[in-house]
Amino acid sequence: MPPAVWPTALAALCALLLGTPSASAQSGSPRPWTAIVSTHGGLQVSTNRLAQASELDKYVEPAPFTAELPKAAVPFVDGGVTVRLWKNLGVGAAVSFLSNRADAEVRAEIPHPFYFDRPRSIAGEASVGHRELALHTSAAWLIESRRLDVLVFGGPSLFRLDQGLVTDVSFDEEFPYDTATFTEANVVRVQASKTGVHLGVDVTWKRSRRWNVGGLLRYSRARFPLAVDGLEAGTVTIGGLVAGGGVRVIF
Amino acid sequence: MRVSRTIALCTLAAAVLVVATSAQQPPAAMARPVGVVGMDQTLATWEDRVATMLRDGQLDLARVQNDTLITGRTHERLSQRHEGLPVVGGELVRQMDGGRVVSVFGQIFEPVSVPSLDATVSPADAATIAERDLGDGAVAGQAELGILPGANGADGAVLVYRIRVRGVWDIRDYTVNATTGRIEDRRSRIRWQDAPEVGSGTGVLQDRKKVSANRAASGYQAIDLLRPAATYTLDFRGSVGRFNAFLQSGVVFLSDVATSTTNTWTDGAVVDAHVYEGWAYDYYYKRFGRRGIDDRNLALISVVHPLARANAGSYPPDTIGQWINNAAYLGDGFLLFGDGDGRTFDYLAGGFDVVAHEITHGVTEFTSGLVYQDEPGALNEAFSDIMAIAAEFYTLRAGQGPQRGPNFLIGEDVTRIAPGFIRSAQNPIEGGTPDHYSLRRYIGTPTDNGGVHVNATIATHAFYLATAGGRNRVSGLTVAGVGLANMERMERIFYRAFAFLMGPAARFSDARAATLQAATDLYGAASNERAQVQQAWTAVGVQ
Repeated sequence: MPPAVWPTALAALCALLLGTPSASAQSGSPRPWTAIVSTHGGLQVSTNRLAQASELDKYVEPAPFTAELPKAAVPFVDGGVTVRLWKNLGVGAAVSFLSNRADAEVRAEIPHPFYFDRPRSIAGEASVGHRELALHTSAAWLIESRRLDVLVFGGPSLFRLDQGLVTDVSFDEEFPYDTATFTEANVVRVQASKTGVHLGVDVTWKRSRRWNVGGLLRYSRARFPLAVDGLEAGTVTIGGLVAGGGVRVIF
Repeated sequence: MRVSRTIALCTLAAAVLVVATSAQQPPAAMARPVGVVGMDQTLATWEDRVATMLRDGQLDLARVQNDTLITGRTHERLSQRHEGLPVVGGELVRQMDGGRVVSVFGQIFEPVSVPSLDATVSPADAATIAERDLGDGAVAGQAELGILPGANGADGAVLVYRIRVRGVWDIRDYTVNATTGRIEDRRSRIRWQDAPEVGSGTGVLQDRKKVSANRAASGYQAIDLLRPAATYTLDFRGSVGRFNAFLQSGVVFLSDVATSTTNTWTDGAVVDAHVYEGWAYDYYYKRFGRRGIDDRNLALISVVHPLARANAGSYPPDTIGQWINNAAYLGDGFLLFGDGDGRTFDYLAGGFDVVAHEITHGVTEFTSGLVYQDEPGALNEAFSDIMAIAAEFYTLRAGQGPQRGPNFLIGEDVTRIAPGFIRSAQNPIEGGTPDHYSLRRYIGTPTDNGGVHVNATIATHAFYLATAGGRNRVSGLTVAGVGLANMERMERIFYRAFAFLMGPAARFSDARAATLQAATDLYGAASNERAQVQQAWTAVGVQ
């Protein structure tokens, strides 16, 4: 299927789902929409908060460690506007933000001070923050019906990531040093920007000519290689599927 | 050494307290410190006072330093004197700009009153007192009379000798009461950094090891402070003069400690001696809970490169045999590892079993004290070999150590000529030593102290048979052994017997009895372990 066919196909699909002819806009809406301003709140499901695999140098041996936070649904807020350009085609911009702080599980293999190849496993927790700020710019197609408007959109996203990263682990040990105990992890904030993509559907339940409510489904994604002070922290994928609801103001 | 550091710190803290409290003027009768701050409004007062004290001989110009920051300024260090003797701790610094006094700072003691200026203790006796305090090998410098304020209660000052003493592991300034002989103060002059760091090094056999070192201002020292018993590895750099002086005096200095500019060590003998001593300590601690050779964490001090291999050709055979192609335990935690002539032996420190063997002599010194002659001497050597073998199995099983891995040979990693080892517990006759009591040699002769090295293999072979099992070549008796997987049991039996049950004059028959008792203690009279020990001794002809 050629890309140009996508909007039509999606519109047809929505029309089918809504049971309303997609040509309602053509059937004589007295006043075509000019812009839609929307705000949302909801959850970004399966948010990658931290999946770090790094390596330190301890006692002249590599000391690999991981810091992980399981994927979780994280609350987000979002606000945006879509402006009509031609017929039901518009362009939009939205800003979304989510922030989360939780205890990451840190595991490390600490080399023995006297012997090679005798690592000691330690584990503990470290409070790690994760923030995503994204600017989504999109092309949008509005499928109107009597009760529901469906806005299909997609485009590039500019992500700003503020991620807590573990840069070192501290531990207690005493002779004969065959075991070690995790004491704390050093966490620093790393900020980085990256371009990604997004695709979504915004449904408006039309209760009045102007003030309405609706829901949002949007999937976005960007991959960040993370490093701090020469410490490689792997690649993190941010974004994900957000589901939320909020207010629509139609102009 | 930690104690010395603690004393130094406490002394420093006390000095700070004294200065801090000097503003509270004590009654005039007591010699108490007076903090001198001669600047601004108080300058004129102290300027006159200092001039008067200089005229009266209460201050003496000790030295003058040129000010390198302000041209034309000088700083005069003025020592307080009383009746011509220096007052310990009394010193002023007068800043001069040509002939003009700019400032005066420091501390003096007032009033200074000494009951008597006649010393009843001689300088030599004072030096002896200080030497004795620092321990064997300490050498005192010149004893100089002085006045120590605030040392004797209300009258506040006593006549003392000040003596610098160089000891085995410390350099201290002593203050000895010239009337009573009491040590009034002792301070280490060594400023320790105490910064243990783990580096790496390449051993004699080109294997890489971790090195526990101490970071110093100019590099790294071969001092292991990470273990409860400190380990110092000294490098005599093949200096005949240094080695002779050490043999004659027994004194070593911090400057003898092997160093490296980085924490990547390249001298194989230094690396192996240092690392293997630590491994041996670990073995004894983990296997038996023993804390060092004396079980009280006595420091280990090893010497490498006592005589240079390069000069081996210039020494008589006896010297080569004793100090180059040899390793030795010198007593009191001192060990020595020769360079090897490169033809017969490699650097002796390159064998973990060699190092563990010598350290075990230290264990014997502090336990059974087996006399180094005839059968007790052979048992002394045997215990060292047995523990060395056990330590090698214990450590190298974990994947560490020389390339040849654990075995029942001694010195196989550093022996370059046939048969490729020094002694074998598995097949002693291969190394030319007896595997049966009937073949013991040199007993009662001066040769090898009555065959201490030669006859040791009778006992080590018994250990081998009790552990790994096998057939004795002479008796034809076969012993099942407890198996290598259960080697720890035999280690415990022999350690218990040799370290706790045997006396200094023990003979082979006593060793048999002691190991049987140890087996009974540990595993029961009807245990297989005891049976294997019994059969092993019987197999080697010891009843």
